[in-house]
Amino acid sequence: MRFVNGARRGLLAMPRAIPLVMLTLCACKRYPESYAPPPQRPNFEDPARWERVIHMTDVDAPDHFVADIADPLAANWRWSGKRPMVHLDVPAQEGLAQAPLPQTQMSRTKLAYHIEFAIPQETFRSTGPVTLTFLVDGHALDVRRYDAASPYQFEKDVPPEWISSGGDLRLGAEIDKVFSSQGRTYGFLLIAIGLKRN
Amino acid sequence: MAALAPLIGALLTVAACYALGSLLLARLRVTLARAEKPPLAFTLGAAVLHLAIFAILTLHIAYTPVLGALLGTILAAALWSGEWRLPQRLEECRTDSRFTRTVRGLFFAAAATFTLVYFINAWAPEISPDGSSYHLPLIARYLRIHGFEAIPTSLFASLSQGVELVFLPAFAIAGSLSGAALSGGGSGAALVHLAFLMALALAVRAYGQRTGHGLAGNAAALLVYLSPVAGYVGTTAYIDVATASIVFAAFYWTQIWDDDRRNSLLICVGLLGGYCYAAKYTAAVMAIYGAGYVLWRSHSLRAAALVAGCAAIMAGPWLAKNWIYVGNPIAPFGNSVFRNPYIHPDFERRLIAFLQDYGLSDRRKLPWMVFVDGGVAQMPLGPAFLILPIGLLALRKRTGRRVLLPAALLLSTYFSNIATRFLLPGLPFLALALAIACEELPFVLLVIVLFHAIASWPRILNRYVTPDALVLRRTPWRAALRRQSEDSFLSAVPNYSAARFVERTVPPGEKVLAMGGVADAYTSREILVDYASAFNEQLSDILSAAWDEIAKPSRALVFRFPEHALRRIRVVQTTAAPKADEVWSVHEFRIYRGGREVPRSGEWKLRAFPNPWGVPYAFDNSQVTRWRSWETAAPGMYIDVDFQAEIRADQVRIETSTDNPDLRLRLEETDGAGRWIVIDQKPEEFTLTPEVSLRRSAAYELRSHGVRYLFVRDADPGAHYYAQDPASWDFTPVARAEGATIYRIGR
Repeated sequence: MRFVNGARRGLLAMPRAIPLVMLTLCACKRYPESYAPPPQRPNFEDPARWERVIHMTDVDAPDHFVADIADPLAANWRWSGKRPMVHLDVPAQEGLAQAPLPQTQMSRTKLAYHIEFAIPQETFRSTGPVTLTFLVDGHALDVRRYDAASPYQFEKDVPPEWISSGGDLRLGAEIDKVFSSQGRTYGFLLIAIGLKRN
Repeated sequence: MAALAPLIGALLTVAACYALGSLLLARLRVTLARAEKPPLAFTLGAAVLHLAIFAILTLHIAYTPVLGALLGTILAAALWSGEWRLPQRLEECRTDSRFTRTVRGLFFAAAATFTLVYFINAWAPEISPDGSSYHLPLIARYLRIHGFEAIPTSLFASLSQGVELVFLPAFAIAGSLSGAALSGGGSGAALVHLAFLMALALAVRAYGQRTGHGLAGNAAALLVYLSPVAGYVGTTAYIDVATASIVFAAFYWTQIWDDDRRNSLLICVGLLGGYCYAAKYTAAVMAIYGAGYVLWRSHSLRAAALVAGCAAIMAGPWLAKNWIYVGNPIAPFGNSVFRNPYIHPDFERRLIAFLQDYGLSDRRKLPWMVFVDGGVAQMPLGPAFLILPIGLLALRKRTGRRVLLPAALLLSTYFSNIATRFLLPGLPFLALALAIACEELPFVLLVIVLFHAIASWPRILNRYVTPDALVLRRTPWRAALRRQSEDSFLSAVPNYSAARFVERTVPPGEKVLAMGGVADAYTSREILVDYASAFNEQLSDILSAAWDEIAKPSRALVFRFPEHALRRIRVVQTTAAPKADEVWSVHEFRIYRGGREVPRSGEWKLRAFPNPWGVPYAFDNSQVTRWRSWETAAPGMYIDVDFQAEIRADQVRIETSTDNPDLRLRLEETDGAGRWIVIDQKPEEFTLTPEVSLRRSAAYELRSHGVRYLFVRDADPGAHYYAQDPASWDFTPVARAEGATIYRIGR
């Protein structure tokens, strides 16, 4: 009977011992104290496949604004003025020469101007149909008329000679009629603008 | 010699196990019946031999002559001492009826026929997926460096390898004699495994005799021995049949002790119980069973402690090895408790979830797969076992109750992995229960066994199992005799061709990142299987960040605050993730002042919880590497930056991906007293469009991590992105075959 009692005492003592054992084992962990920041990785460009569309929701979008784009972000768009403009840093053409671009589904040789925007009811009621001129570094790429309030997307290949190697490229759009209220001018709702390969 | 080498290696190893067991039994003054000694001495000897080989590997003296000398010494000692001999046959009073003798004759004929098929299959080059992808490659690796080494790139290296270490001398000797380490050595290992299968059947038969259920013991032994799962596993370099053999021996020793009550028997109970853990984690329940059974029957804590102590001798080295090499004694499990940089808790969670269903959506289909066609359970027990519930009738008898208790215990672990082979440790007990339940009707037993034999015969099996079920489908005697080339025999083996493709294409010494398993045994190149370790998973994650939309850095969470001096800040995750697979990740942690990033200083001290080892990835300026919690996101996880001096800032930006959308972050700083105070807990969310080439960044990272080759099957995730435009990744397709491409990273 003494053994039986002893066994019971031993068994009952075990659950209390388990956390202690686990704690002891965990105390021996070889956690690192801390790390210093590692060597900073280089940025790898791929000029042959480079493209850049600036979404108004992008964290760095304001860094690309040149003119006529309102600062506050609403949902995924910002108000434009009459002639919104952004700039892009085009990689150097030497890169293109070093990495001949294969013609694949994933990439195209030509860069296309790409813009997503909307004409809202609020301005359309006042302006009626509007005409937009799409601009690349001062060149008029195309002119389109829009007869209804609606979201739109426009895309067109840019003549390669308009894109300067390693330079600062300006993309924009100009609306012929704007809506004015309380001293402010409203053009259209800009969602995204940039250069795209497909 | 190429054909004989595996036989010599296996024969020496099996004989040494038996001899060592016999010597130990003599030392302990344990007497066994003639039928009991071969299987029990063999398994006991295997347990002790595995410890000796563990010591050899620890000392880094695992050379073939050393292993040969060890086996030779054991054999010489047993022969010299006379302990090799079997006990005298007892005078038996033959009262069996003619019918019973006929049944025994038929049983013997079935066993002999299957033994021939098994022997030839085991003798042929190794074909099993697990044997060729990790059981044998690990042995080969130990032999190459003559001892253990840390293998942080394979979770399999952390599993206990008690059976593999018994394969090791056979593998080494056969490999040396044949000149083909992998082919010859693999066959040597498989032949040793066959010896375990035979020992299991003999032990079951002997147990029947010991308990007065001779015919039932014979029938149960055959039910186990002829089972398709045992036939396949026991003739390859898997370890599950050996585990079953060890488990049954552990049980057997408790029964011998219960009959005899000598303390020396407790040593055998403990050693075998501990060896169960060393063989396979799920079998560890037998160590608990052994100690518990002894405590229950003897009411002696001292006796139970002796069992536990002996078990610890067997299991302890494996716990210590893992503790030393990977900081987790029970690796690759328990990573949330014993956190380490080698296996992610998230992977462990996914692995456990997968093993519990293998993608099977309807559990009701499982019994059919387990018993009949294999299916996702991989191998069938055999349709004869569909009547297993009848075995519950054995509860009427004492022996029946005794075998059903460990059966229940072993079955309790089955649903942790539903592959049929995980039923093998419990199978002998279930077979015994079934046979005991039917033993009063010998004709019924005969029908059951004969049906089982017919249904398990390779040609018949082929008619009802699924095409990809792992069963013996033929008797490859030409391959066994090495009259058929290894290449042509193995070409049908999944992943063999892939391994040879890697071997042909990749230069020696190079590491290959593979999105899935390759038969590693057949290549000398180091294969980093994408899921097999934290390191490999990190590399795979780097690639994913360059093509997988949800893994790309596409979100920026911005904390804005009035510019002021900061000494130490941290971002804390405050929400319990609604889904278990939602892991917190941070590609980059940037600090800004006036719109310009504050340059990172080497003086900064970075910390994170969990996964403190990964925190540099959030501060390396690479958008394809990321710190991840690698476990389900929970409140209290953090990344901490101690600037070591005051800096001025007005913004903290966390760049992350869309695969952790439900998490909420809070920015804190320390006040003058070192207490954490909240700066902001409502970051603004923006999108992030990287301007750098993520693909080239990924290639750079892989090279930086020492990986210059990628093995991608056409169906692997991301495969078409690499194939469509490899140049955009800085990949060069080097070769293509077998529905896979090998890329060299960099040009």
